[in-house]
This record gives sequence, C-alpha cells and structure tokens, in this order.
Amino acid sequence: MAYNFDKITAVIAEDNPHMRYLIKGILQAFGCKSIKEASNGQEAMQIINSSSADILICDWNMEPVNGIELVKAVRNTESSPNPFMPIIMLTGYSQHKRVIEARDAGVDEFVAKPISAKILYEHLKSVIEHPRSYVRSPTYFGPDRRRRQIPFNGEDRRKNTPDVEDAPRRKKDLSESDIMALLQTEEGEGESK
Amino acid sequence: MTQVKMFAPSSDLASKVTFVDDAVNAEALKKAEHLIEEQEAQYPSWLAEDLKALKDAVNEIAKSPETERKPLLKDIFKKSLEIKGQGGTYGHPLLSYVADNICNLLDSLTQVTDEDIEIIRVHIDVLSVIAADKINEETDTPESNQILDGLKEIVQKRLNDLKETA
Repeated sequence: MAYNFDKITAVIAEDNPHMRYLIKGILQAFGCKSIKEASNGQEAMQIINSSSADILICDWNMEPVNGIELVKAVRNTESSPNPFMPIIMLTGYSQHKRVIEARDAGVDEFVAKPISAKILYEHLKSVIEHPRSYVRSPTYFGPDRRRRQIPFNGEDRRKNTPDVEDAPRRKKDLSESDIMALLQTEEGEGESK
Repeated sequence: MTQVKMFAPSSDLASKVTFVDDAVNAEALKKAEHLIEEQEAQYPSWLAEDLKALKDAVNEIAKSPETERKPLLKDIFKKSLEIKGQGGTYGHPLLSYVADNICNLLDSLTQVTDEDIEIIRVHIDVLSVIAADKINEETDTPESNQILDGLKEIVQKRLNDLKETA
C-alpha cells in the first residue's frame, strides 16, 4: 500500500536544523506540501494552536520545552485543538525506560535515530493503517497502551526457557521491533479493567 | 472502580491521505533517500563542529570540582545524542554506536568522577578516528572490532560499578 501525503499538515519539532531540514525534505518527497517547523516544544505548541495540524513529528531533547512536555501538552491541555493528533517521536534515545516514558506521555510511534526515509515512511504508514484507540483515565490520556490479544496456536515452550539469571545479559538498546512491542504490549497504568 | 473512557481510533489522518500506486511510492522513497545522500557530503563538517564542541565541554567539566560537574554534563549528552542520531542517518553507523555508548554512561551518572571523564575522552578519540575514516564499516578489522568492543566493556563495567554502589 502506498500513500501520498499531499493534503496533510505536518508539524516538525526538532532543534537540530540539519535534522529538521532532513525530515522536512523526506516529508516533501512523500508529497507533503504543508509543513510547519519548530525548534522546540514551545514553538510547536504555538503552531499547533494556531493551525490545523494533522500530525506531529517531534524530537525529545529540546529546550526550553522538550518533546515529552510537548506531547503531554497536546494530549492534556484543555485548549489543545487536537488531543487525538498522531504523534511520532524521533529521538536519539532508545533505552527501555525512555520508550516507556514516551509511551506514558502519549506518543503513537517511537523511532530511535538514526533514521532513514523508509523507516519514517513505515511509521507514517503505521499511524494511518493501524490507528490506536484512545483512552482517558484519571492518570492518562493517549493511545491505548494495553496488551494486544494475539492468538497463539503453537506449543507453549515458556517452561523450557532458561532461568532469568542464566539468560544472556540483555542489550540495553532496543531494536525497532522491541520498541514497537514496548509501546503496545505492556499494560499501561490506568487502563486495567 | 477506575473510571476509564475509550475512544475509537481517529480516521482524520487516513481520510486526508491519498492512495498512489507502488511505482510512485518507490519514486518518493528514492527521492527522499537521495536527499539524505546529498546531506551526507556536508556531514563531515557538522561532525567536526560537534566533536570540537564535545572536546571543549569535556575540558570545561574536567576543570570543575567533582561536586559541580553533573549540571555540565548536559552539553556533552546533547552533542553525543546528536552524533548518535546523525551519524547512522548519514551513513556512519559506527559513530552512532560509539555515541550511544557515551549516552548510556551519562544517563546513569549521578556524579562525574575523573574516571568518567577519561572514559568520555576515550570515546571522543575513537569518534575522531572514525570521523577521519580510519575505522568504518568496510574496514571491519579484528583491531577495530576490539576497540569498539572494548569501549562497550568499559562502559558496561562502569555501569555495573554504579549499580553496585547505588
């Protein structure tokens, strides 16, 4: 399935001008004509408040307002024009705790830099083809973080796995598929029924 | 009982996106990748600036008393994170690998010892060697692997020490 993004308005929040230029160029190559740029979360929020943005692509490490604060503002500020706006976070962070923090702030997709045009396209495709349900609880508003029920018909081999202490040390950095699994397969606080 | 309200997935974005055939898609991806290749040529000069900024920041932190160093880590972390993001994007995955190592260390430090500064300096030296193209993906020699694995081990050992003393 292939898409053209010519009718959407994208906001890029990224403090590194080279990376911002690159993301903008990639989006333009995908047909996106309306692209607004911000160098931090504060500027991005001003743009979002004054335009009808369809998607936000943001970095994490920015000042004075960082990406996590921006995501929370989009999701939870009363005056936010679109709390349901798809948000893709593009960041150099890739550690487990960072993915969880981004997920709990309310990102839809988490992309660990380095990036490529194909990776960005895949994540754009994902928010279009697999939009998530949203959840409002007393402590969270954002994409549903609950465990996906995936049927499994094979043999249950979990009892044969080695004890945790015998298992090789886990890599601290996460692969693209690990990140996707973390965003969607661990039960988030507040969504338990 | 916890009050939880569910909302159906929004179709706003999907309704604004037009479908195109795969040929157009392949062309768009090619165009986007070409843009990245164009920027690759400029990356060495940006990297040189980042490495200089990193070295300056480390020299600055080394001059400060141990108790005042932690806030000064911010600049080193920021530059390392940028090298991690840009290195691999512009065709130098080894830069991302080494810079990621620095980020992992800095992310866990509660105070900065002279040993930590030395670890960061060694990493910057290796980044400079990679920048000079003396180590790259093609020159994947046992010696270069030994250097990269050694860096990973140094950081892992320091992280283990930090965990034990926590």
